[in-house]
Amino acid sequence: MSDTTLGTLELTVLLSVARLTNDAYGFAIRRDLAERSGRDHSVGAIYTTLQRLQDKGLLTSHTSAPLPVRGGRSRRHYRLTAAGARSLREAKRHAEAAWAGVGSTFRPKLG
Amino acid sequence: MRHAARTESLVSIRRRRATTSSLAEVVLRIAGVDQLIIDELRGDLTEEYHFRVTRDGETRARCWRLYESLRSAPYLGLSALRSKARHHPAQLTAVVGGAALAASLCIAVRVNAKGPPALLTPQHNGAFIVNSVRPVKLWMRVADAAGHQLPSVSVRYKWTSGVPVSVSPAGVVTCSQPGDATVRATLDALEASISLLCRPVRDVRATALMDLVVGGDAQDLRFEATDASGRTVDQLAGEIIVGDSTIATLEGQRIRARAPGSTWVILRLGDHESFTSVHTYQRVAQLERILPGQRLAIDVRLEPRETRQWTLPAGHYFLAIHPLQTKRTRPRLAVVGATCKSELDHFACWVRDPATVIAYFPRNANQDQPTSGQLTIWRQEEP
Repeated sequence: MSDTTLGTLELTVLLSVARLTNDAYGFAIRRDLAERSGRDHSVGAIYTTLQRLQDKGLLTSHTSAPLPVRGGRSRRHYRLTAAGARSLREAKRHAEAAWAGVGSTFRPKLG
Repeated sequence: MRHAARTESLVSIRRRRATTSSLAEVVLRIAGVDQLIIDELRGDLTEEYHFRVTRDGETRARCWRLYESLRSAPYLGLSALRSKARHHPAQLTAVVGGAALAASLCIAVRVNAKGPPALLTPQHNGAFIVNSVRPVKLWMRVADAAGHQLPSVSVRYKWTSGVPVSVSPAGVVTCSQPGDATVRATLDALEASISLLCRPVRDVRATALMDLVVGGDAQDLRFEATDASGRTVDQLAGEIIVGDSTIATLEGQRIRARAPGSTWVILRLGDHESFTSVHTYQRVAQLERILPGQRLAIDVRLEPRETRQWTLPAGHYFLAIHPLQTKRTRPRLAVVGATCKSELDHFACWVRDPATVIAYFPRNANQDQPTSGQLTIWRQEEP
């Protein structure tokens, strides 16, 4: 069992990297998060989170070759490490355990 | 081979970017943000900027980039600090400590730095009143251009005109006779003129006991200063001290009651001082009974030939009636059935059996207007 605690943004960024597989770089991750959660995270927030996840050993990164256009830039692509994948599984298991017993009778009250 | 090509490409990109670093990048670098992150962030912003130019137009895209940069800055700064704290705690401590020390030093230097004398000003708008016949030291305010006060020991003084007054270069003056003189004060290239008002005082005395009512108006202190010829001196510079500020407090040269009680006031003028007592009273609407230790004041209004009276039980009393309108007939006071002594418009009475205190409109007063006053009674504690 991993002892790495994940914050909400860290978890969603990890999930996004897992989802985007080979196309996980800053701009794409930000757009993915915006589409799925409806939240517009700042570039700074995303990059500091990516940096933190790398420091925790949950992500690894590499720089791609420059894009095949004039003035094309290199992109830093992110990939889950084995520890990152384990953390996601742990997080899922925790969430399922926490929701166990609530079941289909749960109806959140709004307002 | 592929790896080598990529490295070369990265180096060339970094070189190109380094030459066109924006101010924001420089700030981020100083703050300790990793260069790789800066490059990636810049690349992402540029990519999304072009995307938004196509979708929303250039102006809106520029606004978005500015907004995005601003809201990203706190995350990057905090992240850099956190990273430094984790990997280089000593370096971070040194940087933060150094910055704090530098800021403190700057503030201290800015606040405390004193320049050369730039201002030489006499106190009290240039007039120096002397009520003493003994030597008195003149005093000047010396300050630099920023207003910092400087020592005044180097100021030199010289009599220039007016009544003959002995003035030493250090500014010690002796006023042996009344009159006005002018003294010049100099400090390097600075110069100022002082009007010396010699008003020697030979005697100071209180002219009345002071009765004040809590919640009433402040009153002028009643002292009189006279010169060697017995004439009143009205230009005075001295010190006033109140014995108990919970009873009464000074407001300039006036005094105001704060709570019922007794205190004293000392006036020091030149070589003399005088003392007077101050009694303060609680105002009441009716005087039905007065307990030992109480000090009460009651407003009294009298029509011509009218009298009002109150009964005093056995005890020791201190009584007075104070006119409220100086131009009207002054109400009078009498005490029947007590042994009294009158002093400075006050009665000190010893009542053995119940006595009567009477406020009356004087019979011989040639006036048909009503008069009003304030009766103050202090029943002293039983021995």
